[in-house]
Amino acid sequence: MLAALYRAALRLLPRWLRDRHGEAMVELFVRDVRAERRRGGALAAAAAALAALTDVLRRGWAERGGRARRGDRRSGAGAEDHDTMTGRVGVMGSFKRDLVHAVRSLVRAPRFTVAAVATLALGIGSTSAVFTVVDGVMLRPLPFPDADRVTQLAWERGGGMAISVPYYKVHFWRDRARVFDALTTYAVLARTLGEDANDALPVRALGVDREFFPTVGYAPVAGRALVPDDQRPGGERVALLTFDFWQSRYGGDPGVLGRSIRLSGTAHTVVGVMGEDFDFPYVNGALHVLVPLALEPNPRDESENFPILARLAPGVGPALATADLERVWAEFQQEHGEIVNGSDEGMTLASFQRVYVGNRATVLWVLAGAIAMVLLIACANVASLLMARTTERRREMAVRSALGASRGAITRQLMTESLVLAVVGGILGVGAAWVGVDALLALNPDPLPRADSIGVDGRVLAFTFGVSVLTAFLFGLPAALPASRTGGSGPWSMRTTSEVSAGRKVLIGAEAALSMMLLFGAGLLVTTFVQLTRSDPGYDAGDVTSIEFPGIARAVPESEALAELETRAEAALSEMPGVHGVGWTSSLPLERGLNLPVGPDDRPDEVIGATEWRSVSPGYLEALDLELVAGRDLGFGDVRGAEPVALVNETFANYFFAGDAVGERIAIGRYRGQFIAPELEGPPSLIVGVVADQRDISLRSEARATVFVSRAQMPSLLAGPGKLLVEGPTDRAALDQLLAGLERVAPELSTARVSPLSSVVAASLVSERFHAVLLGTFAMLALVLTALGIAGVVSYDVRRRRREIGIRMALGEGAGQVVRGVTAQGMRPVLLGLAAGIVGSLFLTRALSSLLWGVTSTDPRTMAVVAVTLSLVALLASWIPARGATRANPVDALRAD
Amino acid sequence: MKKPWLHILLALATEDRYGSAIQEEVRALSGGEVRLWPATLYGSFEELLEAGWIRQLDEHEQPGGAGGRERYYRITPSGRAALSAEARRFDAMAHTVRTRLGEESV
Repeated sequence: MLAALYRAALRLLPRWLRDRHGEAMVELFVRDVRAERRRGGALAAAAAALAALTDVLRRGWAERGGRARRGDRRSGAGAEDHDTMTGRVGVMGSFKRDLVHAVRSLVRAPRFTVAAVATLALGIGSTSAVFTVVDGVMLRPLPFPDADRVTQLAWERGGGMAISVPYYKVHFWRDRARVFDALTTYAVLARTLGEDANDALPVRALGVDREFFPTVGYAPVAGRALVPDDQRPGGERVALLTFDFWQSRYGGDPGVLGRSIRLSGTAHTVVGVMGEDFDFPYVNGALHVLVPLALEPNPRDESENFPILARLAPGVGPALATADLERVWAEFQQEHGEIVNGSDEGMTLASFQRVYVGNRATVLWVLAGAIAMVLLIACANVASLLMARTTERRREMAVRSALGASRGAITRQLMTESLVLAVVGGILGVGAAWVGVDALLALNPDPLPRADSIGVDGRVLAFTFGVSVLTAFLFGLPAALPASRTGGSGPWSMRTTSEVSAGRKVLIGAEAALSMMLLFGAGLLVTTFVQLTRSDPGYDAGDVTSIEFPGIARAVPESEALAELETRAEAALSEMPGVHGVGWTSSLPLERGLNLPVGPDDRPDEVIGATEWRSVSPGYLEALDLELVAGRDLGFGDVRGAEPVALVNETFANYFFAGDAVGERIAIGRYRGQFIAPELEGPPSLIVGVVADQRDISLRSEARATVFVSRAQMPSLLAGPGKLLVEGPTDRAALDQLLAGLERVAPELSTARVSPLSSVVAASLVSERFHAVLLGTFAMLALVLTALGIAGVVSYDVRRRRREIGIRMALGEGAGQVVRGVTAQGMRPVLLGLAAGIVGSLFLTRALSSLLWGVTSTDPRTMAVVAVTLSLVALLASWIPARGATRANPVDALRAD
Repeated sequence: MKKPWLHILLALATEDRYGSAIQEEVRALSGGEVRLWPATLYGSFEELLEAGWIRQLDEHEQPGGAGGRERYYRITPSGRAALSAEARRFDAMAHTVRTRLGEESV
């Protein structure tokens, strides 16, 4: 396609040059672009294509100036090209003259100019906004010195990849690998700063180890980095401040070094301050302090909490690094067979993009593709406007041609006008992008990695300029090029009006096809969202209120007292009027809870490693209307001291016990015969009931094996503050009563955060909503632009045929018949385009399939709805101008020329 | 002398070359800095042909024989003269610069 565009652009050059070298130029262009693509990817290839295209333009102007100087050998034209002052005209002189002429001509046609510039600003602006985000998140290098040597390591296991690994593995790979200069891990920790617990300032701390600094390549600007002693558990606690926090909290006071600060109640000595340029994109949002992670590597602790970041030694390539990682993996397997799972494949190098952008990359590429379509539609509209305008300027062209302007000169003149339009559109577009990026990021619920640093900058400006020039070629060339078929001798021969109509109809068809694809994609995402919203998750969130108690762990630190408080609150609330069910749980549906290995007590080798674990009170099932398919619910008798009991869901029961699980015993937290934490040790739990499956990990995924244990029996350490679910009236007054009731039970329960459970469900669908809204917006934009394009073409057609229509009506043809005829003509290209669009969408929407749920990428129902919508809009867009035609006074119409 | 002319003449100074080979040589000579895109490249050939500084090889002179698809160009004696005149101009300019900077006495 680029080659075709370039070939068309060559017509800006004088004919003789084109005849002699045209083929060679196209060939060289294709080679250049291919070479750039190999060297630097698609973006570099596009930049090369753009450079080659502008080179043609420049050459066109140079030829025009140069020909006069060299005493033109091909045509008598050229006298007008002489600059009267210097006697010579360079590229710039020639370009300047075209530019002045273009601006004058555009100013004389304000309605056309405003319409074209507005369309372009919209198209280019939204393209730039999307590019800003895609570039900021995916294309730009990481902000570390020598960033290409910094890599992430991930744990490869059959079919998947774990970004975080147990600390022991961090330790092992750091010890054994030889290809890294440094290898580190980190964790974001929520801390409070200040003496008084009630008045503490919440701060975000980054837990790091001492190799963190050489890995990322930043050292503190004041004080020191970490030393081995800092990481000794039980040693003196130290902390480093980030630059911004040092400025805002301590006013940039250098005396802060050595001072003691209290982080979450523990004294830490400030030993260093990070520089202003320190930037850690793996974590979103501001960081305030860095503290050492004090961890003991323990092979039995398999909680996967630590990502690995490493800096390759200079000169080490991916092949060498991979070989080294494999060697370490072999050692690990040999020495630690007991903690290797069958599906494990060891460590692998993983780029930031692969790890963090991950499935968001699909979304971003879909966005990029969608916006490219919108831009193409905008280009088609402007091209169509330009074509109509060029026909209207036939006389002007004929005059200029008669005065000696060559075809090339006129073509270049028209191209200059297009360039002016595109650049003005681009400048306004940057403004639109500025606003658009913020809107895009504000709309996106799922924080994009590195979102903080996304903004319009030099790269974006360069991109926007490039896109503007490229669009100028796209929309300008079709209208600027003389029609080859009608070419010939005599005065400048422009296309006939009917040829222009035909050209514009092709554009309309293309727009309809693109709109169809966009609308279909958007329709699928909207359907996905609706399907998920309507789907039955297995529980009823409708009239359930969830109440959290943020300060309860501090107010009631002893787990015994807390358990007693929970029991009293449950009893008190369930007696309140209107309340149908009350229950406590460790995590709400759709909230990630604790995962533990669980398996049958008598089969120690069989275990589901990541069983969803929830500790609930006896009222939990009732509050959520969960169905008990076998056995009994938890009861108030299941307390500490009594035999430990558990409920399991159907998935768990089917996996181990062929569905018949009641009466079986399971070991919770036991892995390969050993409990992963001493608190979990104890007698096995008796399964007393089986609960129907629910999709409570995510609405998109099937139920995961789950165990529910009695809150009153569970090990104290895993308790954590519970969340209360109340089924009953959810109006303001009822909620106030609930809170008053809680306060009567215990004043500690008065600080509560109340939210309807349905909002938790809705919150789990924010990404789906974002996708639907965004693609929907683009599709709407495309639809509106297409409608405007259709209306423009039909009204132009009607004006051209005013005379014919007038005669037909004067001869007695009814208005309705005329409208039908005109509308039908307008609709023909739309319907053809629509058909092409349907075929195209069947291929394109496959890219969306990972984002869809409950609908296939070829869903006929969505397809039908979208096609009908598009047809109706197109019908309206052609009917309105058609009807206008019949309103004209036949006499006026007949007088029209 | 126009920059593209200088680069093309330089590329042809050592051996006869055809279009894309000249483009590559120019790029290599300038350390990747100068890229002659197709329109400028072929447009400049025409200008240089007209100035008589290069000439197109006849079919029987082509390295690939008469069947070769590529059009080879060769620098002419007047092209060489123009190139060395340009070199003298550079020398003079460099001399002036150094003198003004006080690095060299007059």
